[in-house]
Amino acid sequence: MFDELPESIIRGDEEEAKSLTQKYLDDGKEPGDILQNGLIAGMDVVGQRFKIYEMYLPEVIMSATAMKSAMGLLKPLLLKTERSAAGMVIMATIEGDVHDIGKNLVTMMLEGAGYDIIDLGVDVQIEKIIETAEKEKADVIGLSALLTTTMLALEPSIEMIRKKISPVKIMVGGSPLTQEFADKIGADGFAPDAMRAVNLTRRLAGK
Amino acid sequence: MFIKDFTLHGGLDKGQVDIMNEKALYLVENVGVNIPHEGIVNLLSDYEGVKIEKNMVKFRSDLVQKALEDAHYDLPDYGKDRWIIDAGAHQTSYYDLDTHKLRAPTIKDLIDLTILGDALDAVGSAPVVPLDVPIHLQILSMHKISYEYSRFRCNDIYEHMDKPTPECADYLYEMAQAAGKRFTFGIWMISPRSFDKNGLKVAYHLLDKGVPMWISTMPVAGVSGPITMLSTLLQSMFEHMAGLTMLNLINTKGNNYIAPDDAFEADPFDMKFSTFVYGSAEYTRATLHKISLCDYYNIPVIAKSLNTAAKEPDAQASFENGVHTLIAGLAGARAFRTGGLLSCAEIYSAEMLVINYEIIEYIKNILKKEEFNDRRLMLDEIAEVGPGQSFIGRRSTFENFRKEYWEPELFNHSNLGQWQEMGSKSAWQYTTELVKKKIKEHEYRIDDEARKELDRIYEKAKKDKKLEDSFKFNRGK
Repeated sequence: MFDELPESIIRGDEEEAKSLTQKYLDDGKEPGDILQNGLIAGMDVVGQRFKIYEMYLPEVIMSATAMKSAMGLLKPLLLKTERSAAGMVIMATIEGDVHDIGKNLVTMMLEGAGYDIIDLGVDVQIEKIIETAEKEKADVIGLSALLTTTMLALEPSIEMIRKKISPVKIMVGGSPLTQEFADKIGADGFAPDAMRAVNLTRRLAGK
Repeated sequence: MFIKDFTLHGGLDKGQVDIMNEKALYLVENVGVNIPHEGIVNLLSDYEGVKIEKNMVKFRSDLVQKALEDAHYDLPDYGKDRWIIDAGAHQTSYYDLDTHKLRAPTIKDLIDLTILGDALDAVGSAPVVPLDVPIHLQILSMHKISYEYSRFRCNDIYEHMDKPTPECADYLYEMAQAAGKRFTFGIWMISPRSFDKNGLKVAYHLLDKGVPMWISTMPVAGVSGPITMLSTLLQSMFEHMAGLTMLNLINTKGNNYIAPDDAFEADPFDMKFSTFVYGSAEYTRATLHKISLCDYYNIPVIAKSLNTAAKEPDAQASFENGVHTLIAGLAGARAFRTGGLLSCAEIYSAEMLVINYEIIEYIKNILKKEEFNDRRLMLDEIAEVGPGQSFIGRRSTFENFRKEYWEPELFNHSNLGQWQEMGSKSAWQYTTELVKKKIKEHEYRIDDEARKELDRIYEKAKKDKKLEDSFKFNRGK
């Protein structure tokens, strides 16, 4: 039914994606249907191809941009349950660290995968992360650290989150991190790249 | 007719560097950088030629020129006449020597790797972060071990160690004085066009101590810099110039310079794997451009040719390091870094450091000047040794064979049968043995008096709550 829309997302054609989305809305199609079977269907293909290194990062970003633009037309019309169908994720680079390249990529990919994201930015105090996650009823918190000094602050940060909020899932990422380290500090998951972060989020959010 | 010196053509010519210099100055004067530190911005506001809008700061070209002219680079004596291997730094994943599996490095690894580095005359920063040491003591340990077990490390223009908090910097300053070592402070910029505010905080704290300060930045093409390597180099030039000018205006009691380790660094980014990619063809080409730029600004050249995307000390690692180092050597580089690193600086490998050393020796021997004279043409020898005879037993062979041929320590020249008799060891296995031997045999230690003083300072630091708290970014404040 929406064959051309996923294709426009895969190609990263923002104008075409918006135009088709509007056309389907004008034709009376359900916004939730357009989202699932048009936009997310396209991003799923993008995600799979990115994961097996058949699509490259700039192409994925173009697709995510097309998705985000088309979503802009759907968001006001979606039912509350449809809008948050994928889940709510809070993203932040931990306090003391200002690196955000990886975090920004993950945020973009998660948005493309249909998640609601609040990106708190860099150098974020743990109290702010907890407060936001509680308020927004986050499914997953994503923490990024690139420095050896800040990476070691992840463990007490995770402890603090667990004391205050349950049952939120916590995933971590950043160049010096490893799966072994993530397990040691009590994270629910670790992803070495943006696409794997999306798959991890799906698993953790259970949606 | 005569054997000429080896030469390399290519890279940026002077006219092109002139253009890039002009464009970089334009960016510093008209586009500016973000300096997120009120105290520093206030200091800068005292200067004519500095334009400030909130935290965006622009510097007039003459201030930049002055900063470039004022910078001086105190190369150590050993950096002037020998080939330098600047070993890599701060890694948190390490190949275990016995299992060849990756694990977190410990204080024992730090000691062993520092000893190994010194056995190879390596300079630069401490090799690994000892993750079994409390976080607030890690950097102190890295400096202390470097001072105790190495003649050169953390003590020259090749080092670029972090000093993450003012309290930590104060202890390191005290340790450097006790050990008679060089203390500097460096600020890393965060591309595009900003600074790590923690770095600015520590710099501000050190301003009245006459500490030499350096600036470094590493924009990544297509991510924190534009997609072409040339444009990212230009951004790197602009950021370096702006950072150096800032330092020159605020750190008036110390020498300020562009850190040679990453001078005009511009990194390629692999869009397939979303990761840095050292050792690539583009990165090697960028090294040539960097060498041109460093020559232009009279900055000592250090080629970052010893980094690689390879995950093990394997063929990819050796090829990338070898080719890159050869090209850099042909272009005039005689200092090379980041020895021992793998996987774009995610891993430290003792074996890779030894392989790097061997690669450098190999290339040094390719490029060494060869005498062209009758003594070496050996006309008389040729005439005297008759048909069917051999030169093996000749006096000239005995007297010259060691001088004429470099004897590698690692690269195996045995024949197949000899190799099999010696155990058919792989390069990695053989290198591991060599690593252990060097660590066991190397004897340098700092004198007892200095060591005791370092121990005293370290013990004081262990009990210092203020130091410990300065590392607590997220612990229920």
